Amino acid sequence: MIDNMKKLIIIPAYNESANIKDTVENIIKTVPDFDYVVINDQSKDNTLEILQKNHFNYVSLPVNLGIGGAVQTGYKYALENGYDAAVQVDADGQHDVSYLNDLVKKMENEQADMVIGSRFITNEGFQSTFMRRVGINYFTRMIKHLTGHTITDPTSGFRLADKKVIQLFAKSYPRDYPEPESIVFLLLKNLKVVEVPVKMKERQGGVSSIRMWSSAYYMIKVSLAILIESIRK
Amino acid sequence: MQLRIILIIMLIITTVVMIGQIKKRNLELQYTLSWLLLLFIILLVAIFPGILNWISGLFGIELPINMIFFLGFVFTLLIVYRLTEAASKMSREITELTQKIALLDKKNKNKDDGVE
Repeated sequence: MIDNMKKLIIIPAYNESANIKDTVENIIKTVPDFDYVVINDQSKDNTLEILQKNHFNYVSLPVNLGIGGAVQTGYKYALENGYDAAVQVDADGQHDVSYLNDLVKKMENEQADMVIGSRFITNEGFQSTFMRRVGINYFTRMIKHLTGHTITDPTSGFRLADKKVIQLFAKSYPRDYPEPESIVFLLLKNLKVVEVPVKMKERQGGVSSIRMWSSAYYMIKVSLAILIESIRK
Repeated sequence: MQLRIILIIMLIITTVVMIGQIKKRNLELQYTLSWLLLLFIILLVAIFPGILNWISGLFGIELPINMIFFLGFVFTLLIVYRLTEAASKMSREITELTQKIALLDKKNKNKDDGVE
């Protein structure tokens, strides 16, 4: 069953010239049973050039959409091309693709709709900064309160979606900081969201999409988004 | 009286310019309607200042000038709200289109390369 599942890796890339080549080559080498697609979100550096020169499989957005719009393009691609499962892997190399089979196995065994790779089950690998952990913990509690489910790593982008979730996300996906909000969306639709332990690495280069100065905006925006999601139905 | 005449002239010029812009399709009538309505109301007030006293009395506002500020504020908020609504709708539509174009572009490239 696992073997004939059509699986896609979605790699959103914005100004990732420092990492994209290593990331894609590593994916091709490590998990050959997965297809991949890079979504180039109008990078201002030479990310697109690198994608072309290496003949990588990519979709290039004509206008910068931000992380949510880029990842959603990946889900639309997955839907159009008939994939059974799609997983988001960040271009910066922080997601270790050798865990992908764990995610797939978990999905199979538990008949889950989404499997999240979580840093905070075994607490191994790069654990993010203290302040971020406080923020993540706050979202975990908020989601628990609203849905009754415990998601230890609600901000993890390293997540595998089944066909049902691909369809839902292709239709609607938050524009920025999409992870916690979309988990609530799925949980309230009574879909099964589970987690597996993974180790993440520190970013290999480039800049994280969440910088210090925008963290207040991040906390407020995501909190509101979760609350609104929970009354949307 | 002089002020009223200047005001009326300015209002007429603004209305003519605005309609000219709509004619040239620089402005979309859908989003300009609230502006035209505002101009029309100010014009009415400029021609018949008595209206202002009457409305002020209705709202229990003593100074008619405060009524002007109040109405101006309410109208500006309405127009800004309409714009926020329009911007939200457009950004959703642009996202949708951008994704569609990118995916079509990809399909075309695949065809050119002979991959299906």
